[in-house]
Amino acid sequence: MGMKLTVRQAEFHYDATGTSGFRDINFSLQDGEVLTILGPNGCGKTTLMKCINRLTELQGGNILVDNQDIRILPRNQIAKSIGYVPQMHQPAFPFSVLDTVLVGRAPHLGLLESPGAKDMKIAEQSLETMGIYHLKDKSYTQISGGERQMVIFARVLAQQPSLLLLDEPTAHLDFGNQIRLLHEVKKLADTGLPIIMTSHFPDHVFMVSNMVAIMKEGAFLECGQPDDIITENNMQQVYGIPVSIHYVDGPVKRKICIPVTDN
Amino acid sequence: MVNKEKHQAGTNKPPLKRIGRLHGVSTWTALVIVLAVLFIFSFVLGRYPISPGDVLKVLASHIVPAYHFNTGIINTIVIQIRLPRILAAMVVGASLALSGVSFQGLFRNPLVSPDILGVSSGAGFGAALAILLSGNQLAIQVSAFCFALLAVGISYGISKMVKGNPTLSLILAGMAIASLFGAMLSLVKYVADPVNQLPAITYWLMGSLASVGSKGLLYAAIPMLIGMIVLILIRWRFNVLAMGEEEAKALGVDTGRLRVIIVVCCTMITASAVCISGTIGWVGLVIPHIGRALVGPDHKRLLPVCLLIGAIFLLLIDDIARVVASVEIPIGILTAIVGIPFFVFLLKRGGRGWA
Repeated sequence: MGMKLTVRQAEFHYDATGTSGFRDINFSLQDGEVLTILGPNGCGKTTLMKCINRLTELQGGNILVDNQDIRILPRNQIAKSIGYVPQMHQPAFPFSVLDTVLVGRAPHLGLLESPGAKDMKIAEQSLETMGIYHLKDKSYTQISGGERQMVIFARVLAQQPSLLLLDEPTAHLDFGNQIRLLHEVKKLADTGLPIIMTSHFPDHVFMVSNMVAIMKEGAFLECGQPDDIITENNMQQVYGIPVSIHYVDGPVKRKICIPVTDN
Repeated sequence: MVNKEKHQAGTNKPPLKRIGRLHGVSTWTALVIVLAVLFIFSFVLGRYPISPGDVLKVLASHIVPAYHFNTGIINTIVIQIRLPRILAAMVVGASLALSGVSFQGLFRNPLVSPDILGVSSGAGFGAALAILLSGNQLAIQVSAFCFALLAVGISYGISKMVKGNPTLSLILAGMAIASLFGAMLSLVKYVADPVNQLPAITYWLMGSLASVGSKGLLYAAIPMLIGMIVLILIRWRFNVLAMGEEEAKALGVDTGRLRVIIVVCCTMITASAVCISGTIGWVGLVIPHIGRALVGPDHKRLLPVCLLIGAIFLLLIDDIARVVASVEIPIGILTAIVGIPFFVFLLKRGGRGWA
């Protein structure tokens, strides 16, 4: 813990004309901060996430982990600092849940090593943290989509990173599982672990984030506190639909964002 | 999505644990015992009758320094004729199975076989060329080995020039190179003398362990053992690779370097196997599935088990090839005839091998 991520003048283009990708991305993130990146499909969110992790190389600017440029860090060093949960996980073989979580220990093990008793313990603790210890010996193909996402979360916890990247963690999940998963994200955030996630739902920002960035056509439109950024005006500008934002009291105690539809 | 999940749930039958877990014996121990028994039994088979007791006595006389058992002809048959062939069947089977399971893990596809990068086509062409030019046994072996390496080298080189998904471009390059060497093999066959050379080429391509000598075996065994040891040592990393290129990278694995190590090791062992035995299909494809049915997909347990099953399977097939008919049946034919019904059975059963 105690890590600081700095993104400076980050730039990436898929083609020479610079029509896709992103540019001029600047922000920094510290312990206890949860940044959600909102934006329409194809605005560059996923690419930005991959660049932070150096799965894709930046074409301009820097990404610094504790003031060290990730370009000079070996891959396993990056993986020790940054955990990544991809949008879609499709394993080639039906590994058991425990074996899948153990894979999270990879950055801590040498080329010839395999997980030992200590790694096993860490993996089991991660399963307990996610509340899925009982699935330990199940095959990955025998469990539901929601449970699979929990397994991938347990795997990233076993990696023991000091920053989490979650690329649309609620994608493909049903309504209940989405909320359950966000609840887990919030619990992790409350331990002080800094998190960057992408989402399509302004409500998710109000539920878990204390920072939000709105991305459109490869640039940050706004970045700051959710209350200041998630406004009716901004949402309309980004998504092109009228929305209404309200504070809901009672058991909810947070803002909600609902589309305005005229029948 | 719903349909897919249903389908997956439907194919999840329990592993064949009963076979491996009889009376608490681990799968691994059971396979070692089966292999040891089959090893001794294989010496008994053949035209000249030798009892299992004599086999043990001859073998012991070569291992225990103080013990002497020398009955001339029996010793010659056991040590000089049957031993190289039995050892060859075991190492070739183990090699093909191990490179099969490694390639399936690397390419994240249970339908991949060791030939995927053109190693067999290259070896076939190399062997045919050597038969055309000289016919010397050692020249055939060396030429097959070199062209097998060359074919994979070219495939890898092409895949490096292509942008995009590295595993997919490797497979595509491998398919192209396999076809190219296939065509060149046809050319060699076309110009070969149809009385002597053409049958020799055809026979080589069907695969046989009949002409394996102890010297050829020794030369081939060195790269095989090196490749096998490395693959066994790094086997847990296959679990990480199986998560997919991007996830493996995010988990701190230098996938490019790991891919090179695996391709080099698999190529070394497959090329060595093929250069002494000719092309033997199906072992590398089928054995990993049997392995997964026995111990599940975890590569840490799967690789050693596949090594043993491969050795057992090919030794058994070679025993059949030697004794079932008065004329020896090429082993490549038998692996397909025995392997395919088994493969169909596994396909029908579904489950553990397929995600």
